[in-house]
Amino acid sequence: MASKVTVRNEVGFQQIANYIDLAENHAFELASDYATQKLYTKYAGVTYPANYAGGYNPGIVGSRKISADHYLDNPFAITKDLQKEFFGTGTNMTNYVAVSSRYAKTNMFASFENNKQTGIVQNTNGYARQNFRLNLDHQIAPWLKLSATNLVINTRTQYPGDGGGIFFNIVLAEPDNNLNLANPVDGQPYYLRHNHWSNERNPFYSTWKNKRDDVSQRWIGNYSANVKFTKWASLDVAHTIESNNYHYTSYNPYDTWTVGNGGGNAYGITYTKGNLYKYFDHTMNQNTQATLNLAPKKYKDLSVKGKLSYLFEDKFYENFEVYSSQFAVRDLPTMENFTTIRDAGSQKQTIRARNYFGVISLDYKDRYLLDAMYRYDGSSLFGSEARWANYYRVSGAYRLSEDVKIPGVDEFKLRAAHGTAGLRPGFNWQYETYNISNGVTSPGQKGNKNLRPSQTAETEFGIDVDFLKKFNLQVNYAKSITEDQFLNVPLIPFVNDGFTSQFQNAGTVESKTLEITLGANWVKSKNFSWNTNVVFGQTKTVITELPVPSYQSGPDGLFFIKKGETYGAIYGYDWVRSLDQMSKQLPAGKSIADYEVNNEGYVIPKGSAGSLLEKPIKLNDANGSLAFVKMGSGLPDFTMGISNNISYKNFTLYFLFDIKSGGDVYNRKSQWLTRDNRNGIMDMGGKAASEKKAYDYYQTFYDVNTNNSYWVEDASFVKLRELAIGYTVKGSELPGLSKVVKTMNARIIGRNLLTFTKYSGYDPEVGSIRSPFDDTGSYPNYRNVAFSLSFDF
Amino acid sequence: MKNKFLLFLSIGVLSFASCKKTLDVQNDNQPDFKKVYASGEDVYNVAGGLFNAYYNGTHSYSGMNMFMTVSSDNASCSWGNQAMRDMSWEPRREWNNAPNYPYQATTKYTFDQMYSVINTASNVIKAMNGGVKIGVNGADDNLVKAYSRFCMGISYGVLALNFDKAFIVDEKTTIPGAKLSDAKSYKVVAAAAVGYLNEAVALSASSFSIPSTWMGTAGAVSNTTLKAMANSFIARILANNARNSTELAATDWAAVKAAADAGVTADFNVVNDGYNRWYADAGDYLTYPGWGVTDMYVVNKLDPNIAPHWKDDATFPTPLKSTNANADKRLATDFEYVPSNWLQAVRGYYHWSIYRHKRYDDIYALGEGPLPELMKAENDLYRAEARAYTSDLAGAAAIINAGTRKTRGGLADVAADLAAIRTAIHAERHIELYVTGMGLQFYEMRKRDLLQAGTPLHWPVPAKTQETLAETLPFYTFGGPTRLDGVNTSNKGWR
Repeated sequence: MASKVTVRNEVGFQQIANYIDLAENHAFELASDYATQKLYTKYAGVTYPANYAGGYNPGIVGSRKISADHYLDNPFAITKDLQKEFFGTGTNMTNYVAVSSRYAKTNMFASFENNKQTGIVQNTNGYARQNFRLNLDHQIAPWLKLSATNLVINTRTQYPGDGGGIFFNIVLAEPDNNLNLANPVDGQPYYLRHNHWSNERNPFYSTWKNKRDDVSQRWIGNYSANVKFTKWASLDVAHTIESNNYHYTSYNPYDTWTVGNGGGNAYGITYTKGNLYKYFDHTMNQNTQATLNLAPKKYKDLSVKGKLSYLFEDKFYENFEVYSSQFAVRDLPTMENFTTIRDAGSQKQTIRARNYFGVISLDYKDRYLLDAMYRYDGSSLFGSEARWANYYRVSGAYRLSEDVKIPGVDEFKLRAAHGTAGLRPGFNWQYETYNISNGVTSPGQKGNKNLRPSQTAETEFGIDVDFLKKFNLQVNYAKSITEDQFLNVPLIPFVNDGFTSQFQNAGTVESKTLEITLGANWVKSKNFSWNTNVVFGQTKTVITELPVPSYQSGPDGLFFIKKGETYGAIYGYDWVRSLDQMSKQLPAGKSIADYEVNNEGYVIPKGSAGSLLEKPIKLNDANGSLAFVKMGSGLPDFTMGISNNISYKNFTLYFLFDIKSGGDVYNRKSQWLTRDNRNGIMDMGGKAASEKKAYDYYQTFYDVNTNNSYWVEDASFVKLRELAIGYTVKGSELPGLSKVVKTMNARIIGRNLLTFTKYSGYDPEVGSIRSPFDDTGSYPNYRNVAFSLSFDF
Repeated sequence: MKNKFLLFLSIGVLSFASCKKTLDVQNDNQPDFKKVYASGEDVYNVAGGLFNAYYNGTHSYSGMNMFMTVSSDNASCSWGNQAMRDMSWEPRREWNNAPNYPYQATTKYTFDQMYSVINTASNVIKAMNGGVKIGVNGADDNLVKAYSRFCMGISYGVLALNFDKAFIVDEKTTIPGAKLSDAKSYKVVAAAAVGYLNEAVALSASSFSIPSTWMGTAGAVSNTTLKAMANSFIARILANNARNSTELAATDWAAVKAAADAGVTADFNVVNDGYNRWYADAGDYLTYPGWGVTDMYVVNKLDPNIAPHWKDDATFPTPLKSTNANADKRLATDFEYVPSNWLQAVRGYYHWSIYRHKRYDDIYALGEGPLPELMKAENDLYRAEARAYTSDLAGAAAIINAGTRKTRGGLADVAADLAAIRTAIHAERHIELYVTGMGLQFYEMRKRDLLQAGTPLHWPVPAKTQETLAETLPFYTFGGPTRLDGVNTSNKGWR
């Protein structure tokens, strides 16, 4: 019998890595005696009630008016860094225990992991997870082995109150706002209307008052048997169960304030009388697979292997939700505490699939390799007239170095493959549906009985090279053509019985991907080793066929789906950047001499720099309409990861740099901040007079959130993703513990430590190729530094 | 070896037992056409949702309501939301009818909601024409048909009043391969709307009772109420469809008079139910603290001593709270003094105001309570207006002097004088009908050439709809300083 016990504990700290640059000056006229007031900014023409300390107050008379120059260069009475007040230091903790043992014909592994992360938002507990794992396998007889794996995961998450809106409200708050004011009516902390001049909610109040919790329990079990019939035939039978229960609750107590009249006070706030929302879903996925493995005896130099497999997938999903508002009795968050249930809903889905596989593998002389696979796939997600689909894959490899000796090359393998695969539609895409709510129906989606999986044909070429006894190189180039894409095609309702859309197989997308992996074992000795791994990736996807009219899609319509365009291309309006462009769209009565290019590269009326009239001009197309152009692309030029593992005696060092070159992000948050003159780029405080710009200039770019090129930012970055320093001591070197402890390892791990980027948001790693978009409500990525200590017993 | 094969067999049987489960799976979440229209009971249920779709289309935040209200200088709000800022610039700007315009969905939402009503109502009637009986032995046939025609009529009315053109379809009329050129002008659409409403009037001759849940009412709606409602909506459509004063002069006032005289005699209220099925959130946002304020144009109607416009200048003196004893009494009951403006000066002082509307504060507070969709006052104004334009000035004055202008506003009697009556009707629509039926103030300003120059007189077929119809960019639009034709874009205005 042999056994091993591992105990690991990790404690860490989390902090926001970067703050958004916000304006610390404003453009409003200050009262002549503003300097005497330090609690709030005193504006000209406004009278304040006695003892006023901030926030909305009905006793304030007058409105703040803007200074003639429109420069954000007037100081607030006090300049607080509210982001620093709001984002705190979080902690994370991990405890891990694992036991493994081997006894005769039985192997056992059990582990427990406890993880807690508070996150960086105050008044919020964050995330907690517990994992329990138990794996067993037992050789019943020489021809029969039974195995079981079980993993139970419990998670509990408390989300910030009121959701993503808090991340917008904290950057909209003006630097003189006091977020810790008590409510003037009932004394609750964090007065909801913290800014007399704005209607944004106090984000602290949101996190303090609204409780949003979710709990999930997940169990994944796999039970399998391996039966050996002969030396050349065996059967694997496996059954996998994945069960997940998820609960979510959002609770606002009776005395939750909201902005609104009718509350019986002069502050424009009223109790919501509370509300409660509960959601539950259950998922049960069960897969049964039987695989017959055939490996006949090698015939001369040819070995043949085969597999016949059957897989049945059975997925069940169900949810229900209940919402109501206006509690009858205070502080009793139960659905029984409402006179009426406002809203309720439920859904269930069953998804089934059957797959038949046949695989044959040929190996001649261990240098010519050929694999072929055929799959027959039936799914309930396909339309009733298109239930089954065929796929295949053929791949071959040639170990060139077995035939040709190349100096310095240890192994040289050529690979090629061609195959097909398909994506399945969503659950209800095939069905004709009427929307139903509160028992009332309305036309929704036109059905499609012929909806079939999208078909991707991929051809791949690759080489694997080991050389100079130190290096290994893998290069993969793949070209794929995906036909029959799923498009939710809009329909004209009045000629389609009211149906507004239909999922159709339409459109072809072509992708080219290059992946290169280079590994280097620089040094490998008893006391010192060093290896490096570099991964490079590049993908380009182009829409090659589109049998429906071009249309705008994606988040906020940033994508333009049209034939010949790169997938991920960001579209919108552009600005005139040269006099040549301007000369083609001169307004009547104007000459090109009336314009100039300003210091940011935009054409403006001549002589307007620094004045209220300095405004960029939208670019027109050849028809004189606003030019609708490609402004950027979410698709990076390439991505790269560089990791290094270094060990010296008992020390280890690991660091990983991630690089993304190119790939734009539309910074909607920055655009929104301009709306309220909160964007740091607008702050003219401390600038020389010749460099100042009026807010009108930036407000023109804001353009009521119209998608335009000014807000497209290069989100390239170099990031030190992880840095870990470890020290390992053998038990024999630990006085008094040598008989118990085998090894002890201590590590300091830093994640997201450094980011080099020109991107102006919290982090350039926001959004994705499908959503190259920095929204106002994103939880910022944060930095994590942890200390870990583990023992093997 | 025998045991091995027995084991293999048993495992095989177990695993292949799953094969019995079919790949044909039902969608248990949403019904299809067959389920929705399977029986009379189903069709009855489908019909029950029609008015709710209309109500959402005209009162939801998602639709056109908010920007129409601010573009008519009834309320003011400089927030960009739902195109409010873009439709209330001074000077006015064009409607951006591009598919990528952030607020393109506003017109599309209202447009699509109306067609949701029209298509569903058409399917209901088609099912009935196909033999589906509703209620015991068809006892509710008349109810459902009258109600369906009513909902079709008011929905076509919205399309006629707000868009330059729309498509006419019903249970008998379809447009295979529809193109933009198949759309009919607003005049033709209005005529169709009135036709459906007249049919509803005729079908409402016999007794029936509409469940309260269908129209969000406090109690069941009788056939006589529906009949009166249909008549009032006919009056609303006919009296408001003119795009300018020339078309106003051509209005069929005799038809308006006949319809309005048979119209409602009490407010038709929809009971908002706490943000659930019935919630007029457009009105909420137009009056909510930090959002909409009452346009100074309306404040001036309430107290002529206060300037009708806040000059876009930091030096313009803040108007003082009204102290005019002769001011409309509703300035105190329905409106509230705003001592400090929340709208940003950066967006123009011309958005500022010293009053906000508070009449429905208690209802908007929690989204609960009755909000008028069609007031008796609205109908009375059609009655008065029709009389005024058909030379019955005394009759018109009598109606106004018995109405809210006097009973709530406390104003002196209006003389039997056309100009005075027009002025009184104009003010009443801005004051009494505040945040009731969508666009009432816009229509009032439009037909009198009072919309500020550059304001669209109606809106084009929505961009996304044109995109689906495979029209080529740029899509046609209205409004702005270069289109001042007085036909599609206002070329005059009150200032």
